[in-house]
Amino acid sequence: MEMDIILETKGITKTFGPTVALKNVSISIRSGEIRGLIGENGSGKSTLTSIIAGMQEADSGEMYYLGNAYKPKSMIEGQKNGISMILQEVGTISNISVAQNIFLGNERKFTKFGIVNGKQMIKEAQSRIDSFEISSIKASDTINRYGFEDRKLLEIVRVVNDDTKILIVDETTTALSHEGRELLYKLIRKIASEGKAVIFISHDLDELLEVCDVLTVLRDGALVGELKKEEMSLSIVRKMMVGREIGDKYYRTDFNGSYDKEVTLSLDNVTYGSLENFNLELHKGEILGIGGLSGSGMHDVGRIAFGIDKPVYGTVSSQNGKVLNSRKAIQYKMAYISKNRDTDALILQGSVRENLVLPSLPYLEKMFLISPFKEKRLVRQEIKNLSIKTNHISQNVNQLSGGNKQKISFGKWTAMNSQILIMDCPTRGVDVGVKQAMYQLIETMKKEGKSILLISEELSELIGMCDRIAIMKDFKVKKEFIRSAELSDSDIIEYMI
Amino acid sequence: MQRIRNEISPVKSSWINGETIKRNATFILPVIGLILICLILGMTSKGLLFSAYNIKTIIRDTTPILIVSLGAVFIYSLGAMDISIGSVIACGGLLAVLTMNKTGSLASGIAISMFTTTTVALIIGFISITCSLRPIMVSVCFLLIGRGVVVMASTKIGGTSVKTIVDVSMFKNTAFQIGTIIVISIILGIIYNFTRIGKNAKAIGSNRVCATQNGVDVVKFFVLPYLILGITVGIASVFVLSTTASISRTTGTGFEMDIMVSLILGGMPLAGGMKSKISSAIIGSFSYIILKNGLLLSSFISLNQVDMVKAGIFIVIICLTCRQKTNVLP
Repeated sequence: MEMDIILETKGITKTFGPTVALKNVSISIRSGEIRGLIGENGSGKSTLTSIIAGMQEADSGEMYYLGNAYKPKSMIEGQKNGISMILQEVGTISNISVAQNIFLGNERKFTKFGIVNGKQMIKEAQSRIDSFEISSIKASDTINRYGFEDRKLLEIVRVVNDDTKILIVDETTTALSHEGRELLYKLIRKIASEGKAVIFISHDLDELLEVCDVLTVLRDGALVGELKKEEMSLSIVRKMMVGREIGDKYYRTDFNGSYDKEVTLSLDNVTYGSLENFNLELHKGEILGIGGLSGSGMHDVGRIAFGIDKPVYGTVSSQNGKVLNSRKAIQYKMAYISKNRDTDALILQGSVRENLVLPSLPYLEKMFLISPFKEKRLVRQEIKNLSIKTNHISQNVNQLSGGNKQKISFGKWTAMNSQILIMDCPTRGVDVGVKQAMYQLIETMKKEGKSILLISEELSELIGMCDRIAIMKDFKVKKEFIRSAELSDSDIIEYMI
Repeated sequence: MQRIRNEISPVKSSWINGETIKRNATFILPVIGLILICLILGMTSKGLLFSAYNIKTIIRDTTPILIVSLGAVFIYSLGAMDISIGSVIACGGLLAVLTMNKTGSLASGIAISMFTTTTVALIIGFISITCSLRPIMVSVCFLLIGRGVVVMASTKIGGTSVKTIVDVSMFKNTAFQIGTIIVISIILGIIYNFTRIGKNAKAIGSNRVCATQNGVDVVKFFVLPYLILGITVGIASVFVLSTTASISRTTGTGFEMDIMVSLILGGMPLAGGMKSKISSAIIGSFSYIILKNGLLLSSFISLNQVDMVKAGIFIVIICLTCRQKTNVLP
């Protein structure tokens, strides 16, 4: 494998107002390497890659691309030079064909006298798809026929072409299932084997250790170190990221999976969509985990339990009564943390204060009026309890890092003193430091006698935290596990796939 | 307490700094705009803008627009818009005139006007949310119905306008106008900032899914803002009717656009949501009327060019406030 430097950054610095996002960062990307980029939320990973891709410009510092000074003004310029990026959220366009999606913005190539030659486009698109060895996808189909995962792969097909030198993959895998990830890894390895470089951002340490050749660790905008394949290990990386020993206290340390007999939430013979006659009981002081692949129906269970989706048959009941809708659920001291943090759980353009008080408003009300002093007191208290990092209680939530956003969606419910918490992938896209804090919070909640339904795609999290784990496949519970020290990923995984 | 404050503000902060200004830009910019409008047009009109007579005119013209703008802030916050306001004003006014002429009582006229406008607003709100229709489309329907009713009724009575025989001059009194503005501003300001009606309207306008998942009764809190709009339209219709003591086929034409331009000038985001402020109504209506009045007084434009100027202001503000394109590829 040749090891030429494709891209070199020297002393890149970037600030946003009072926040320093990047401090004097210098890295070199070589051809044929898969470079992992890791750091806590807000450590500057995305800022660095967005500067390389041309989404924003650095305040100071230089970049050299193939030996020449390089300063892209936009993503288009970056892409023209051979630097492509796939993002977590931006996706494909529905209702048009796969081929049209692949050549979006490049239709001119097939246009003669203003008319697009569809056949030729499809042919070329198919050959591009085939070259990535994902031939299950047909270029002539409408994109709607393909699921989320295939679409993500198509995004890669779209941005990567012969001229591509560097592909940046920014936290794409958080949204993918196990199979989707495997396919993506395969693609990444293939791209690297062709002498291109891949910059891979992820929060999943195991994934990075498995896929990457070199790992660059960032902390608070500064480069902390670079690890070669043989130097990488979970404990070293974690320590470098956080800057202190994370210690053993990551997951729960006890293996006493006991809980109260009292049932706090039950789903009885619930039928909704593909979910049929589903039963579930959650007890006081219990952490019940639900695991499975993303299409197993586990996310539906959370939504139904909180009254967002109404079952066609069957009932959802808490101790206080039937859960008919989310409003009733909240009255019964239930809480729901959606897996879609940015679209469902938070009002991004709202402030920290507006978000934190939202579910509490009816309870702060006196004679129809809501006292701003009470509001502020509640917000300050939650900011302090959860150590949310914010400049001001009026700061916009979309200016916060992912971990702090998630703390706010937790804080909303801890402020309400909710007794039954339904959490759907609560640690998705959150760094180790915040993760640890959340696990401790969940453990404290259990000790306080609260009931927690933890829906998660991360097996280690389920094994580490839950008293009982229900593994779902094809909208049914396939197997139930009781907390024990011997339980491992491999025991569980066979029931998932 | 001090300790907590420090935790929240790790950045050294004096009471006014760049970030505070940035955060309140949607309030500060319109205020600067209003001051500039007053200063520049005050000079070009050679002080005529601030003559006692003209100030009375400004207040008279601003009153109905300001009152409705205050109500409209609630529905704009939802991300909704209403273009039936002008014809509903005419409709409410017409029914008020007819009732007053029959009963001879001003109070019955005000009551019937408010009843009509509130009913229409509630219907628009309720249909929009329960049938998931765009509120502006539902309001188009009532724009046509309202205008139709006025034309039909005035034709039946004979002539193009209907005159009232009851004395409505109280509504032309400047002190009364100022008093009404202040009282309504305070009441609606409190409702908007310190009750669930205002807070939930903003939440629904920003993210309806999130609002639902956080226990907001979306139907109830979508319709309540319409109730408030209806009440303000009812009150405004009496002020509109008082200027000529009559309602004609063209009464209120284009009123909804005046509201829209005023709110935009006041810094109201057209998409609604969390950045909405009730102050937009107050600053915006004064900016709009003073701008219109000042341009006419300074002889920059003539009366028949007003609509063109309105359109110009509209385009400029929309271009200035629309979100900057990001550098992200599709």
